[in-house]
Amino acid sequence: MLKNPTAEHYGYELSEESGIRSGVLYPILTRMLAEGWVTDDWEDPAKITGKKRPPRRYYTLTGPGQLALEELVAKARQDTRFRGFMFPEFGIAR
Amino acid sequence: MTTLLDTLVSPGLYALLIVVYGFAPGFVLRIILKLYPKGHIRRRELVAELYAVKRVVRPLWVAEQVETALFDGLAARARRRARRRSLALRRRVPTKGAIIAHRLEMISIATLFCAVSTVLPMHVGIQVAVNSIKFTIECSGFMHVAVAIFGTIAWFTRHARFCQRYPVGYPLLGWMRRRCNDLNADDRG
Repeated sequence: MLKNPTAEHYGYELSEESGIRSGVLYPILTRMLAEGWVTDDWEDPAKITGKKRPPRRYYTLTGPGQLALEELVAKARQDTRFRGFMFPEFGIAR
Repeated sequence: MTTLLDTLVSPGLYALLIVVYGFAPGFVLRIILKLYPKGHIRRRELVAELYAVKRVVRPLWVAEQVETALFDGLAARARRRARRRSLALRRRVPTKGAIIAHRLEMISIATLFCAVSTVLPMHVGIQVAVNSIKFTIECSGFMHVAVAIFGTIAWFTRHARFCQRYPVGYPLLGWMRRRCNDLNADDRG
């Protein structure tokens, strides 16, 4: 999400990118929504081209959410427990 | 043990798994998503995301959703139930079970009194004299009076308690409800 903060992301995409299992990711997203870190919206069905599929639910990072996430990542970077598992460029735990 | 191993390696089981997971992952996913409460947003979300998953890994992804549904869905179900219950208590809406229990209680009280009053023989009674004129008040008559008095008291007291908890649904006893509320307010105050 921090890689492209203004973009819309859906659950499976986030799960693939971060390597977090969906059983863990969705509760996290629910909490982030409750905290106001992300907003959600449904994909416009008119924009779905090619395959016939239902519209996806997209999550977008909010301003306060971005700040909070950056702060969290900065804290995690300093934590010795996560140091070995961090992506150096984004600081996302794997 | 051998039978279990045979079952595990039987081609029939694999065929079934391929049919269920390989050809109908959407169907299986929808069944798994039943763990979420009705109308939960995740039901739509996960079905939509299934089509983003590569066909090869779809069965595994669907199997993974069991975990999601168990932890996320059942928790959501429990939360919703708790919220509904607390909301019902706050609004003081009688639950179906409470109404049935209350009615059964009333019926049992009435049955008890009526049974006692009808079983007693008519000639058993108490003689009373008023201005030297003797009257015989039959016991069954007493019992009928008792039915009326005790039944009414029981009904009103139970009803008062019932009204205190569930004041909606009995508009004729609105005054009692208001009285209960006033008493409650006094207690709190």
